[in-house]
Order: sequence, then C-alpha cells, then structure tokens
Amino acid sequence: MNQPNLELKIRQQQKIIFQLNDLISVVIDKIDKTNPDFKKEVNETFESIKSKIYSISGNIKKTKYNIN
Amino acid sequence: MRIIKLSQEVKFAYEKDEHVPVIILKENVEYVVADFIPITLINQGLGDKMVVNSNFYNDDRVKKKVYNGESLYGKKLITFRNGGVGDLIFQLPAMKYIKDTYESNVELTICCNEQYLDIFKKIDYIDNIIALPLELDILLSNDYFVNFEGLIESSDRAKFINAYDSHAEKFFVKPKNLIPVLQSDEQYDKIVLREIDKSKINIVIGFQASAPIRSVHPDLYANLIAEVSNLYPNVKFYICGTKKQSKLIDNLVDALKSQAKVFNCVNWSKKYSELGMTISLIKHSNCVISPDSGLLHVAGGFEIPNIGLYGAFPSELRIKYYKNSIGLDSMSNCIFGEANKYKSCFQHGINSCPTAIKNAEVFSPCMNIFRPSDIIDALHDLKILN
Repeated sequence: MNQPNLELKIRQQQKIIFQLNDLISVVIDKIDKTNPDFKKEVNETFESIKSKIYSISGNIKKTKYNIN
Repeated sequence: MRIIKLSQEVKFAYEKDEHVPVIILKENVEYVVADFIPITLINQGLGDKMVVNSNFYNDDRVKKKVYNGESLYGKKLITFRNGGVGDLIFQLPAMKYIKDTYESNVELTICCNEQYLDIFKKIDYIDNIIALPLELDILLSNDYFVNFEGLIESSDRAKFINAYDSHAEKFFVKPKNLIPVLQSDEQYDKIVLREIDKSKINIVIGFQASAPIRSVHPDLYANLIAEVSNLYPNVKFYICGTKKQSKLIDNLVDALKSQAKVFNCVNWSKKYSELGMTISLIKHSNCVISPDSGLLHVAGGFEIPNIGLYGAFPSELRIKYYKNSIGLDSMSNCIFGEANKYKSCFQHGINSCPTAIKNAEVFSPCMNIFRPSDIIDALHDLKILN
C-alpha cells in the first residue's frame, strides 16, 4: 500500500477510535457504583488511550511567497 | 439567504455581548439576511415579529439581478456579505479590475457589517459603502448583485483554490493582479506617524483570528516578544485585537512587563479602537505577524512584509499572492487532518476545534506546535531582523 493511502487508512481508523471513545465514556459512567476500584482502573486505562489519540505533534512548514 | 420583514421595529444583536453592535430592523421593510438571522430572531423570542421569512434566491425580483458575467457598462453592481475584514478584502482585486476595465462607467457598492466600513471609506474605486442589514429595495435598485455568503466556508472548491481566485470567479473576471489595492485615511496616518518611532523596527501582531480555531495561544507571543526584545532592543511590538480581546492583550503586556521586564510592547487596540487607525498602523509598520486574520490581508494590500500562522487551512490559499510573505503551516498528526499536502482539517466556525474540545483546550492543538524560533527565522528571511 503506498504511503498516502496508508496514512488515510490510519486517519480513518483513528476517527473510529475517536468515536468509540465517546461511547466508552458513556459506558464508564454506567459501571456499577458498588465497584469503584474497577471503575477507577477502567477509567485510567482509557485516559491513557485517549492521551495517545489526542496528543498532537508535528512540524512547521515554511513557504516563502514573492520574497524580494 | 433569506428575505425577512418584521411587523414592528426590532433591535437585536447576533450575540449577547457588549462588543457586538446592535442592529435595527425597521418595521415593514424587507431585508436580505443570512440564514442565521431568522434563527437568531426566533431564539431571542422575536420570531412572532417576522411576517415574512422566505428564500432569497427563489424570489422572482431577485432572480433577474443575479450577476452572471454580463457587461457592466453603465450599470450598478452591489456586493454583500457578513464576515470579517479578510473575507471582505478578498473581493477587492476583482472590483478594481472591473472599475479599470469599464473606465469608471460602472457604479460599485459594497455592503458589509458596520464595524468594517473603515476598510473601504478611502478606496476610490468603490463608489458606495453601506452597512448591513441590506434592504431589499436597495439591492433591487442595482442592476446586478454578487453575494459571497458561505463562498469559502461552504464550498469544497475553497479547499483547492486561493480565496482571491474564488472571489474573482464570482465576478467572471481573471485579473492579473490579485493583490488588493487599499487606501488609508490621511488623518489617521498623521496620528500614527506621531505615535510610532520610525527609527525602530515596528512589528504589528494580530492577537487572534475571529475564531479560536485559527488562533494561537497568547503564550507564543509572550515568548516571542521576550526572546526578540532580549536580542533586538530596537524592536517595538504593537498588539492589535478586537475590543473583546483587549483585556487578554492587557494581561499579556502586563505579564511581559512584570515577569520578563519587557517594556517595548503596546496594546494598540486599547488606545485606538477604530479599524482605520489599525489600517494606518499596518501601512507604516515594518512587518505584521498574525494568524489568518484581516490584519494579515491589510498588510498584504499595503505590501508590508508579513508572516501568517496557519493550521486549519493552508497559507497558500490565502497569502500566496502577497509580496514578501511567509506562510508558516502547522503539519500535525491531528486525526481531522485531511490527506492533502498540508494535512489541513478545513474546519470553520466560531467555536474551538473538536480536538481542542476533547483536550479541554480553547486553541487548536495544531496551532500549539509553533515556536518563537519559527517566527524569528521568518523575520530573518524577510530581513526584518539581521
């Protein structure tokens, strides 16, 4: 698979993860309140996953236009 | 676009904000308005006052006035849109071309929000400027109209062609020169020339764009100004923003004074709130640094060296025709970036971007990638700093 298509596929998969995260947040809220340790563990796991998805990095591209 | 008419005079504002001008809609007058106006009226409990709320383009009176490239010799043409300084400037090269082509045998009118009329007041190739809201009768008194509402925000084509080209297409012209010709007010020029020290390197900073999605965090400017001032004491910074942003700019200036001992930085817009004064300041400055905002396009129009900070869409779609211009494009791994060479998301709107919201932030994370060193390098490239 060439690079642009691979990149597009990754971004599509990331979008799905993004949407799943919204769903999981709802599920976490529904976890039995009598088991707070389990809820805490699940929450921490998904916070860790979220931080990887929403951690934005990159670089700056400089373009010169009509420089004298 | 809609045509509305009210059963009684109404005063309202688009937002409940002291800085947003109040609009007066007169009783029994038909107005041409953007789609969000009737919605705003309804949301503000004024919907029952609307006796007419019809589709603008379906009106037979309007259909005859749509401009489709006809000869404009001896004709009157009006343009209108909501939108900020940049959006309004994009139409100017085409209008200048039309005025030159017909050797002034054409009457050109621009209709825009009142707070932006200063852009056009001194431009001699524009015959009339009027404030929104636009009365239908005024539109119909012209031979033709061109409407730019949503031209960039709602068009896929806007992802591929420069804003000046897309606006020229609406006029069915292809000017060779796509740099807007602007003119400042001489009275404001005199005040600016008394205010600034031309022996210094005067750099204007556009504090924020009209939406957080395109803006940078003030910390970037704080660090930039501190770093540059340390190395180049002959530089003076003028920070320009809206009235709403003035307090934030004050915070930035105060922090620079107290923490970094930097005193060469001014909240320009607090002292001079008139857009015309900022236009004159830019005209007499050495450089403008800004995210995509009207100030950058004013700089382009006066051929003042400029550095544009871009994230949501690429710099080449806005500033590629300007002289001595540098586009700094953020290329991030944001999942909303599309598979184009700049990985832009093309998000528009007045709110923060989805990734910022998920991160509980205001500013787009891709705009946090900028470092002062990126801008300082660009200042060297433009020979603003040696």
